[in-house]
Amino acid sequence: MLEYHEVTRFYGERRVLENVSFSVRPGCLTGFVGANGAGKTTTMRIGMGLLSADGGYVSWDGAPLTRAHQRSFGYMPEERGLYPKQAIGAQLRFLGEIHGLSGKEAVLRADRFMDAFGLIGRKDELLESLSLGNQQRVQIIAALIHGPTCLILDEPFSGLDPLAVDFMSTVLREKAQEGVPVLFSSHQLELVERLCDELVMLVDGTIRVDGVTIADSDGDMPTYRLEMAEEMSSLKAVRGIRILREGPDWVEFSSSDPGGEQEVLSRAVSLGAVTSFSRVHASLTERFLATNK
Amino acid sequence: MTAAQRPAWVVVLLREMGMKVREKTFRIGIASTLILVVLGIAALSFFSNKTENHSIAVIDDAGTSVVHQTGDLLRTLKPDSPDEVSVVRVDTAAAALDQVSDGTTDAALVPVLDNTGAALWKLVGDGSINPDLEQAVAAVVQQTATSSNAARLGVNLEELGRGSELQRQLLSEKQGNDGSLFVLKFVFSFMFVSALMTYGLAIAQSVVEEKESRVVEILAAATSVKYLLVGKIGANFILGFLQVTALTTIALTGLAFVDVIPDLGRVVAASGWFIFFFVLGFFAVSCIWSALGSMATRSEDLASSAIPMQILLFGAYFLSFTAPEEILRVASFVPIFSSIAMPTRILDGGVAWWEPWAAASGVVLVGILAIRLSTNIYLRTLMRTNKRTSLKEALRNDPS
Repeated sequence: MLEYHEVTRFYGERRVLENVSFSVRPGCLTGFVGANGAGKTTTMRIGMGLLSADGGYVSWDGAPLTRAHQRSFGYMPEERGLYPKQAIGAQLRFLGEIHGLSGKEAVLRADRFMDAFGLIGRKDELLESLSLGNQQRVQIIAALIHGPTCLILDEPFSGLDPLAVDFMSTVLREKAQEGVPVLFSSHQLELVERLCDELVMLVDGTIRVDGVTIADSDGDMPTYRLEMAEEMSSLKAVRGIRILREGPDWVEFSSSDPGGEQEVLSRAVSLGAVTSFSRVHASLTERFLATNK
Repeated sequence: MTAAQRPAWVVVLLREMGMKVREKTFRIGIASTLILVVLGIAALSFFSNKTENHSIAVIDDAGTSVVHQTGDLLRTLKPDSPDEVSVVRVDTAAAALDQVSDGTTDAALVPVLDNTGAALWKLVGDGSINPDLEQAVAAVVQQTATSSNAARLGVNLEELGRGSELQRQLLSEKQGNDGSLFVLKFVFSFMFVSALMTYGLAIAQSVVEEKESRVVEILAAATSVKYLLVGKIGANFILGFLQVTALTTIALTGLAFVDVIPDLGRVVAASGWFIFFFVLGFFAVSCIWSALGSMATRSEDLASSAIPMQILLFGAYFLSFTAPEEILRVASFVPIFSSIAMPTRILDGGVAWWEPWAAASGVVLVGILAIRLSTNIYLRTLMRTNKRTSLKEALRNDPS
């Protein structure tokens, strides 16, 4: 497990990270969201040992993280991070060797990955001649080739078409299922919501949401939606009820009292025909916007 | 770690070399340098006096004897590459002149009588007579006439010639600044500067390329940044060294073949010095180049960062031809400048034995400083991929 403990980082006088603490658990896909400049890339670079923390530390399985641990991680930098003018086969071999594989092993693994990712026929082509989706496939192979113990991926989905997104999602899921902790940042919130087991949200260098399971992430005040044709104003009298939004034949409310929603439902049934009653999950986008206001 | 696993710097070195030799611009660069070296040698052989063979038509034994003595004289004057003379014997003076006019021989030496009735020699050419040949024949004729006149008049020839000998001595060992030496310096310095520019710039470009594509983040996470630097400098050094050594070998072989340098031994020694100073200078310069690369974010920025370096190298290059002796002497002790100026001075001659070593020590010292400084800058600026880094920022003690 990768854990950040009160990590603080300055750029000159400016504090970009303040007491950032969260964990990336094995077997979990952890989504890392935040506005531009919130400090996601800085956080990830500290995890990879590319930047140092000015305060706090990062640990791996309970012990402070060392360079040896970091070298066994797989990393994908923001934007594209490979040699545009080198053939992809030679490039992957090089990256395998840099990560400590023998030349033979690096070639073997590169071929196996290129085969699995549908790139084996193009191993002698230059990276820049491939489509963005295929370049990103090469990029993920570069992060996977040495059999990483942890994956830290900065914007792995940016610029990908739906097919490529689907492919990348599958690969990340598989790695998580193998027990590898996976941390990835993204601005595609619907995707994070769909894909991730856990979520970390960074706002201006501080953690706002951490380790929340996406499914019940709307917390203490669940929202419900009731739909019926009859006049519903009498329902507002139920204790602990707050009307959030309403229309001619629907209403969305939250209840601070446990069981309040059941009270609303039984009163509504006595008023007339209820056409729909459900719990509403706020979308990640809505929560992101609310948190970053 | 398996047995076949290579150290990171070797992996980097092999990739750098492999990529470089596949580059079209690299191959074109090598080819054009080679062409320049060959052209330089051709120019050298053009500027210098080539060995010539003069054929002379004569009509009698006396003429033959004069021509043979002329040959002896030419061999005494230019022992390394004497002009040759050959005799073509014909029957009459008219036939001898025919030989000249139809181009069979270069000249004819025929006996004539002057208006006092004394026997003279006449050297006949077609459009022109080679001045060296004419001078030599004149000297032989004069010598022959003087000795026969002396015998006829009963004068002791040795007494007659006493005090007429001109002795020659040069106080300095320095070779005159003749055309062939100039071309030599041009060729050597050009090879040196072009190698430093090519491979130095390649190091800087390679650093920028990795920063620009951000692959450096993957590499820096996987290994130490120091190994990246060592691998890059090593790869370009090996290529640069091979290029300079190969071209020098070609140049020296070419010079031996055209046989125009009277003192090839000293040229070989000087080229040894060129390579020696190249090795030292390369490390210092390449560290500076890598630092320049790491201070830039995009290839476009590199152009402006590289200008001072290019000015420095070209400055050193032109200085080696144009600078007055005293300035060249000072430059030959200033690191980087010394890499061209010192071997140039060695080629000129008159350099004390300690001087190259003093200059070399200076380069080593600056090289060590440059390596330390540049590694520092490299480490500090590598992650700054958003903008160009100023030197002040790069040197500030803020590891990031």
